[in-house]
Amino acid sequence: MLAMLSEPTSAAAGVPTVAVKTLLKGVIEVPVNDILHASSGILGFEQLTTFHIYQTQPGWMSWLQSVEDPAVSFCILNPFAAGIDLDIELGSEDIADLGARTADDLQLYTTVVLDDDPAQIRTNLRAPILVCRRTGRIKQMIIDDPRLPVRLYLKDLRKPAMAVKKP
Amino acid sequence: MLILARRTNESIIIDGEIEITVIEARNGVVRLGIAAPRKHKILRKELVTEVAAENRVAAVTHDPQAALKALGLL
Repeated sequence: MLAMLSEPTSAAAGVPTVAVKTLLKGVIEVPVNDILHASSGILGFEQLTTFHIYQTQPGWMSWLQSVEDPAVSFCILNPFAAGIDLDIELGSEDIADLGARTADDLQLYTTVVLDDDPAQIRTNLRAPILVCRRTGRIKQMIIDDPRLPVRLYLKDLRKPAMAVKKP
Repeated sequence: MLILARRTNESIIIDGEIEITVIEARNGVVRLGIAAPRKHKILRKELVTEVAAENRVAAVTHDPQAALKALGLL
């Protein structure tokens, strides 16, 4: 899914770009279409409203970079690609809020807490980040479902029994 | 902050479209019934606080090398 991100932009010649200072890749030129706008922001970082998602290596990990504050960057992952058995119900309001026509317009990520101790590396399934590629809107939504852990330790993913149980 | 006293089964109405009813108040626990249009997202505050706190921990605001090292550990 992530590989598709660069396709439309590289194909469209003459799309204006913005220089984005990233924490991990230095300054990169980003097509304006790939600048993401958060109206309600990321909780705890409400002052930041524009972001860009990029990768430093292929796979299910990406980085959510604040355009306004180069020092703020989140590691995010695509839970489906990472093999997390995630069962999330999106409200029609949430989809409409992002300007998505269908659920296919949306990409879903979860934030990752990195730690020097691998056992502490975890992701938050309760508050996924939704991106509408069509409109460039981004939103973190809280799903009030106690079955979705705020702290899913990635080490547990390797165990046969998944931490997230279906109803 | 507005402070109101309400008895069981009494309500308040906010903006003509949100109704909050006291269903039960017992042993320091108040059960509320909330009727509101779906556009209003209703959450327990401690959940919002917890997510904001987890976001702050998740933000890699310094030492990207350590972050990359951690990533390599996965």
